[in-house]
This record gives sequence, C-alpha cells and structure tokens, in this order.
Amino acid sequence: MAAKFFCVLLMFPLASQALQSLDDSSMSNVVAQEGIRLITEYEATIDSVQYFDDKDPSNTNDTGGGSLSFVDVNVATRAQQVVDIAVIAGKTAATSLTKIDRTGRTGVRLSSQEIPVDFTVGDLKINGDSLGQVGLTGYTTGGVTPIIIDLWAGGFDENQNGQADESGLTLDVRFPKESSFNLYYEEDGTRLSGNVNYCADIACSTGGLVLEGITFDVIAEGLRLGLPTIKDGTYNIKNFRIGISDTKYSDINELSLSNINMGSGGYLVLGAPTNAGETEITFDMELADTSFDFIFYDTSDSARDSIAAHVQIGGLNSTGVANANGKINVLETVDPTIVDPSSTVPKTGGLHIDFEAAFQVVATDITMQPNGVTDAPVLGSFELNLQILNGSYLEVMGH
Amino acid sequence: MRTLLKLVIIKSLLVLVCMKAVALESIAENTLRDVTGQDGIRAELNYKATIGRAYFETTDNDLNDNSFNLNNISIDTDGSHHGIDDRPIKMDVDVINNGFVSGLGIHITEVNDLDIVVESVTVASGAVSETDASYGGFSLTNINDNGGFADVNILAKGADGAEGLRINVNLAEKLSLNWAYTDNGPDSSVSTDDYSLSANVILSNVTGENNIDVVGGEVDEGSLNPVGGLRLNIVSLSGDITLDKIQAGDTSTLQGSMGRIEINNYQLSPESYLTVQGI
Repeated sequence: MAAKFFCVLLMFPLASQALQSLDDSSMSNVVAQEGIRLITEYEATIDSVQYFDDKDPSNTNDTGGGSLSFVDVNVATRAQQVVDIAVIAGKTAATSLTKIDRTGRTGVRLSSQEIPVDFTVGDLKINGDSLGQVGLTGYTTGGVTPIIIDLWAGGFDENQNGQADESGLTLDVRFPKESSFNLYYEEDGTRLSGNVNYCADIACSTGGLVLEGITFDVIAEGLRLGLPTIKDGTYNIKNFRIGISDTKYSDINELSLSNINMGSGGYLVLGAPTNAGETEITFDMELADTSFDFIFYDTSDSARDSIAAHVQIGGLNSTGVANANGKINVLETVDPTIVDPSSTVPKTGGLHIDFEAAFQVVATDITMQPNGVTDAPVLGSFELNLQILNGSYLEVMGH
Repeated sequence: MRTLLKLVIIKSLLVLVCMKAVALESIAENTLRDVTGQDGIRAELNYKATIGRAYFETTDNDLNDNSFNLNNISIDTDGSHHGIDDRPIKMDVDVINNGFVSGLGIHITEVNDLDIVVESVTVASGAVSETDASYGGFSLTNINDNGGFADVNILAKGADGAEGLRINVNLAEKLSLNWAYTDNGPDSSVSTDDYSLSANVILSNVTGENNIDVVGGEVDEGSLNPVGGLRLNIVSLSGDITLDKIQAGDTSTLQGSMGRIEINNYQLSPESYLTVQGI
C-alpha cells in the first residue's frame, strides 16, 4: 500500500498556468536569432542508479545502512529531437514569450518544438525489495509552440537588495498548452496510469504551464531550491485507470485542479548532518500560500457527475506559512523472521522520513453535482489545522 | 567578437606544441598494441596557466550582443606540487596504421593531481563586466588516474573512402576527482559567503568510440530547415560513475554526508547521434 501511495503522490507533482495563446508574430522570436541548434536521437540505458545511506560503523548513533535503487533505467527519444540554444537578455512581461518580467537579467534559453522522450525504470527497489516499475512516456509538446526553458544567472535574492548580485540559477519553464504525457506505476502486472495535460478548457484553446522563478543556490544550510510561483494554473489527469492491459482496466474517473495559485517565497533546503562520518539528508521547507479548485468527475456521461471544492493551504491557524522539516534516511532492513520464521514481528527499515509539520487546509464551496444537475447546492466548508509533532515518521519499504 | 576565443585556442595550441618533447627509450610492444613500429614522441606536460575569459556570443532580435562567459579558468597539471617538484603528465604520441585506419595514438599516464577550475560562469548583455550576473563556478580537482593509463586514438576514416574522424577514448580503469559547484556570495572581496555543492567522483571503465564529421545538404524531416553541421555519431559509450561524500553548504558545521550515488553501466546505443549547427 505504501508503494501505491508513493506512486499516487508521483502523479501530482506538477501544476500548470493558463496562458494567453501566442500569435505567429510573437512565435517568430523563437527561431529568428543567433544561436546553436542541437539535433539528436539517443537511447541511454543504465543497469542501476543507486543511492546509499552509508552507516558509520564506529558511530552507534548513526542510522542508515540501506539503499534505494532504480534498476534498468532507460531514457530514449522516439524521434528526432531539436533543441535551440541562445544567450538572451530578459524582457518585460508584455514582450517576453514566457510573460515573466526578467528585465535586466541575462540568461540562456533552450527551446524546442518537440521533445519526444520516454523515461522508464524497470524496477524501483528499497534494500533490494521491489516496489514496482514506474515510467513517464509519450511526452509531447504538441508540436505547435515550443517548450521554453530559461536559465537566468543569479539565484534567489539572499541579501534582499533587489539585484542579481549573487551567483546561482533561476529557472523559468513554459510548457505549451498542447503538451501532455503519461505516468504509470506497475506492480505484479497491474498498472495504475494516467495522462497529464494542461488544457484549461475542453477545446484546449487556452492553458499551458509556467513554472516561474525556480531557484537553485548553495547556502550555509545546504542546497536551496526555491519553489516556483504559479498563477491561475491548471493540472488535469485524464484516463486515470488501473488494469492489467490496455483493454482490461477500471476507470478511476478524472481529476482536475484549476486556478492553481502558489505565491513566491517557498523553498526547500537539503543539507547534510553535522557530525563527520554520518549520512542523512536533512530538509527544511516552507510553502507559500497555495490555492486551487478541485474537481473529481466522471466523464462517462455527457454531463459530469462531480465532487468539487475550493482548497486553500496556508500556515497553521491562518498565521505564518505552511512548513515542514525533518531528516531522511534509508535504514537497513531488520527482518525478525530471518532469526525466527514463526515471528509475527513486522520487519522494519527502508526509506525513513522523520518530520514535523504545521499547516492549514481549508476547503470551501464543497459540492456534489449529479448528472443533469446544473446548480448543485453547496454542502459547506471544511477546515483542518494540523500540527505534526517532532517524533513523527513515515517508513516505506518494498515487499 | 570571436577573435579573443580564437586567440585563446591558438595560444593553448602553441603551448602544447612548445612542450618539452623528447624521444625516449623504446616502448614495449604490449603497450603499443595497434601501433606499428616503436618510433614516436614522448611528451611531458607540466602546465600551469590561467585563461582570463573564454566566451560564446550571440546576437538577439534587438541586435544586442549577448555572451556566455567562462571566467578565470585555471589549469594545473600538478596542483599539489610547484616548481621543480612538479609531476608532469606523460604522453606517448605515435602514428598508428594498422592497415585499415591511420591516425594518432596518444597514451597518457601519470595524471597525479590535475586541477581545472572555472572561477565563475557569467552571462552578459552588451559589454562584459565583473559585476555580471553569475551562475557560480565549478572545479574538477585532484584528477588522478591512480596509476592507470588513458588511450586516445584520433583516426582518419579515409582508408575505406569515408570522411570524418574516428575518436576512440579509453579512460584509466579508475579515474578519481573532486567535483565542486561554488555559489559565490554577494561580497566578491571575501570567500566566507561562498558555499559549495561537492562530491568525490570516481569514473570507472569509461570507454567510447565516436565518429565526428561535418555534414550538410540534408533536409530536416517535415520542414524546410536545412540540416548541416558538426555531427557526432556514437559507436559505443559506456562506464560507471560513483559520487561519494556529497556535501552542500558550510562544511565546517555540516561535516556529514548526504549519501553516495552509484551509476552502474550506463550505455548509449550505437544509433545515437548529436548534430550541432547554427540556427
């Protein structure tokens, strides 16, 4: 179950932003400039990518000793991939292709009409025990407008002087509204899968995804990842299903998150432990105020049977910001049945996350709309103030 | 605007040509393998130099010259010794002709502490200055072949009428180095606000065979964009990579490790290729 839960989490990592459609004249900016074009096809295979939490044998307080493995990794193009690279000066929001104001900044732009890449992992293992297979396949930009990745010099403004006078990286990514991809998790021949797209309406005349201002820096506390700002985004999972083949499956209906807004200032810092010889990953994160419209619906009929709500995530009791911190280890597996086959004590170990967190979730305008009903009554609202105390943990292992 | 880059390349080539190159005692047959004859050149490379700036520049629609710059590049073939104690990298250079292909064979040994440091990577719109925004710097230090050797063969494909070069590279069985990305703080006069993401890297059994050619005259499938440029065809590329003792931040207080990553037996399929051309 833990593995399935982990996989479902994987289905929700992205969000999108509605964009204005670009006319042909603005699109011409993408190709009419100097730069380099990379044309490539490839297939890369890796027997395994393994993360080891090395345990210090001289330190009895050091946990770890386990491993997390991605086995039979394959990254391959389905067709020719063309990527243009240019050094660019930032523009105003009105004139920029990403609609983000980067006046005064300079960076490197990667753009591509199509990135036909598949990524699959033949087996995901914790301490040698399999969790199943995962993959991202069929990624397409739609071939109409390019995906744009802008890499601006200078990271987050640590000294808060409004200037990019510190080194680091700021990343803006614009996925075109026509882009989509498939995600799957498979175990013992049963596959949970879905198709992710960013269409804001049925005709997909608007939509897209813009992740604005993702920053990468190294600060005293470790590696700092600045979370993106999102404005009026959309994220859909279609063909959300579980089955044993392309023809034998059950639909889990469809899910749409729309009007996603995430404020600026969120971050995640990953660090190392203080004691030499020890291994772990510490984390500290804050999530800026986030909100979205949630709808879970059945499209088997012409009208949607749906459950909907407006959801807000913020600081505990509406003060501060949502936050979490803790540490991550991969512990060696301890299986009592190895010593005593009749033991009923469950085995322990695996991916172990110690954490504490404080946040608020508010759901308002909750409705249940059956087929044919156009104006369902509001059922009410829901507020959850959650403080997860120090000492809480989540442990994930294969079986 | 590309003159400086050309000067840098020419200067580097001149330095390499001017290296101490002497004929030495004969080389054992088993180390020559495909090499016919035992004549050749032994070069001992003892090199410590800095390059102020190497850059790539493009012009956008607004006709601004935008540049991508590597600043203050330093290369030291023996970072832990100086002067007469330096341990030079040794290279045996021979002309290879095995009846099918011909070219240069370079056998490299005694890489003990090679350091390559790029102080900062910056981009600039217009004139370049020291205050340009920076991506940070990176370094590959203490590059060590651990007593092994590397072979680089640069071969012409003309023997069978084909054009282009075949470049075969076999790195030392175990090549170790320290990798670091440094995020320079806002105060350029001190280094106390500079923090790094770093790891000890081991490259094992890295080998590759590639064809390089300048191609042109083809048409991009489905469009009228001409295709032509420098094309790299992969014949084979494989190896293992280990990243150990991954650290980030102030290592005077964060002395532990974020873990170890092993990438085992990566391979690129023989049909893989990369073509680089102008837009």
